[in-house]
Amino acid sequence: MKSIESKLNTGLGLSLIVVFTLLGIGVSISIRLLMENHITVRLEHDAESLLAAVSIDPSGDPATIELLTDRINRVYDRVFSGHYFVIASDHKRIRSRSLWDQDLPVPPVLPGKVSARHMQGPENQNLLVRVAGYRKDDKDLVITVAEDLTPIDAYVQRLQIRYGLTVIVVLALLVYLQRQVLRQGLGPLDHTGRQIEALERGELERLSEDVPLELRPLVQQINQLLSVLRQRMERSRNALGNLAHALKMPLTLMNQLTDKRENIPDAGVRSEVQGQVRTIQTLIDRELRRARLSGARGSFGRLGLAHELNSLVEVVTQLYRDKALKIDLQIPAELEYSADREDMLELFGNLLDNACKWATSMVRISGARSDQLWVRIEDDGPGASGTELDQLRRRGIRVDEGKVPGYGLGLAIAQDVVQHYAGTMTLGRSDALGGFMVEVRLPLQRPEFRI
Amino acid sequence: MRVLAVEDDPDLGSRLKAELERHGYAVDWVDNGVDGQFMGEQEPYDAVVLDLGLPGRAGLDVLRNWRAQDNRMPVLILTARDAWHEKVEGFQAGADDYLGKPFHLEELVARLNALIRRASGQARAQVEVNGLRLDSERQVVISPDGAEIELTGTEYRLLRYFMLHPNHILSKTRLAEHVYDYDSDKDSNVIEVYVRRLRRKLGESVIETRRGQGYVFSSPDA
Repeated sequence: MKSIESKLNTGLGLSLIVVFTLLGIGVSISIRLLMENHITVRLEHDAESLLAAVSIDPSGDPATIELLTDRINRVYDRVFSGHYFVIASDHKRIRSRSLWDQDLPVPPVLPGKVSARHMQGPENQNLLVRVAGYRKDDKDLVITVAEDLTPIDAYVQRLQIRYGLTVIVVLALLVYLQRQVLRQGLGPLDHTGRQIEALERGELERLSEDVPLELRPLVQQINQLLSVLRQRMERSRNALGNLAHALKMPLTLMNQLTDKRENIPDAGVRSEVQGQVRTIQTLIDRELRRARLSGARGSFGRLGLAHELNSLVEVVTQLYRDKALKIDLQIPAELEYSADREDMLELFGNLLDNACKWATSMVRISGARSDQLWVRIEDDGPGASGTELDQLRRRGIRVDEGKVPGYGLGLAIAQDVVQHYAGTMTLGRSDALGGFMVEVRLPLQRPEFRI
Repeated sequence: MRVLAVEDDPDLGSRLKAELERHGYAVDWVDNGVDGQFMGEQEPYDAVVLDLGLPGRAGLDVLRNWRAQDNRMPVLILTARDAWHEKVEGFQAGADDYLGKPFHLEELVARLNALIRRASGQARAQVEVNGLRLDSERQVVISPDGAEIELTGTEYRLLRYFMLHPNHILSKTRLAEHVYDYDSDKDSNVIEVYVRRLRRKLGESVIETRRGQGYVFSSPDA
């Protein structure tokens, strides 16, 4: 796709060249015609003064004609001066001295007739020739007057060269000016482009509509599209939330029913039913959380991680108040990450909850960002054994398997979030605290951007 | 101990009321946010179980309004909305605990007990004063020599309130408010009857009478 700028430049350049060329040709022709016209008029005057200078002696037979040389212009005396005349009567030709040994071979014309033509003169001169027939004292005369056009040709040529040079300069200037105007005119496009990038990074909610008239419909349409997508996302999120709510109520009641010994006296059956209810509960929980994540695509704000993690720490401090855990939050205050807030709270909330559930006295959260964001959560609880970790790494985390007791669902949900953000999650043993360790690494730039 | 349950689901609400009463609580159950807030403002509850998705007024708004009025009663949020951002919001609104649905009743009762205990300054998991120990599971009191003493529901609630507020002068009205639910006939003279029964079961010196003021459950170690 050619750029608009080069397209416009080529268009303007070509059309200007055509215009200037036509103008140049027109001006050249006009100047030439004008000069020739002027010369023709002068030639006519010269012819008339020649006619006046011709004296006819009618007594002779044939009648002799003579030219009173003192009455003619000196320019006709200088050899090959470019100004020539020939006066022809029936049997005599008077040629100007300037013709020297040459002649102007022109067909005679009848008296009262005039003709003009171009012809080759001495020394390859380009002559404008005016031939006119006169009658003086009953004598027919043909007076041919010619003038060399070479100086005029040279003059026109000089003019053309000067014109051409001027045109080139003007053309360059115009193309440059157009470029500037274009740059300025297309500037808002650049601005909008940068805004779209900011939109993608989540720094903006919508594009500014303070743009030139021509761009406004486009920007408005983009904004419209954004709000439609956002609404759709919101709707599906709400629908899922409602479904979650609706499903949880019957499950709660089932729990209450199956917990009562008198409802199901057979202990084996009761624990089987309880187990199945629990599985349904876990599966619904995970799938709904995962669905909520998929709905979380959109433009993200920059999240102050220290602040968000701190509010999570406050929550788990309340939830595990009786354990009186020391929760050590080592997150730089300025640490930011652009992501959906609910996703991040879900991710770190689950990990932190797990850590608090298993910790004896201490949980540590540390993190920083370099080429990616990393957050590590450690506890001083029993941790997972080597084989359990191997299993988790090899087969991934599965909800329905309580291989690591209590870590299952929380880890699975955290894993879903991390995968959603194209990050990685590492499980292991904490060097510092001796318990379980989870390290989450998230890329700063997500590889693809989907709404 | 008197508990307010705000829950809009009729099945769950009635079950909650029945189960909590079985565990020795006087329970008022309302099914919407407006009534919930009003009850919380009017009655001296020892704890509240609050749903979030309520008709009339959202649970979080009810909670915020209570806290804005400096009402510090312990509130446990019991909701299906248990995403972490919702938990954060709940605690920021002033909740003391948060339990996601579906839940097991035992867990709710345990958390409710813990909340009430903490609110009255008791750090230990079990209520134990003057060698008397309450078994909330079976609603009996265990005497210093290890004998189990059976209690009726009202006796149990009354004794627990005394034990959670040792060395406080408790008026008959206050005791009645915390032992009976809203619909009961709160005749404070009945309290006299129950105090007499407790004295008969646990010994005369357990509860002292302050004439014109009320009763005191004295404890040298509390």
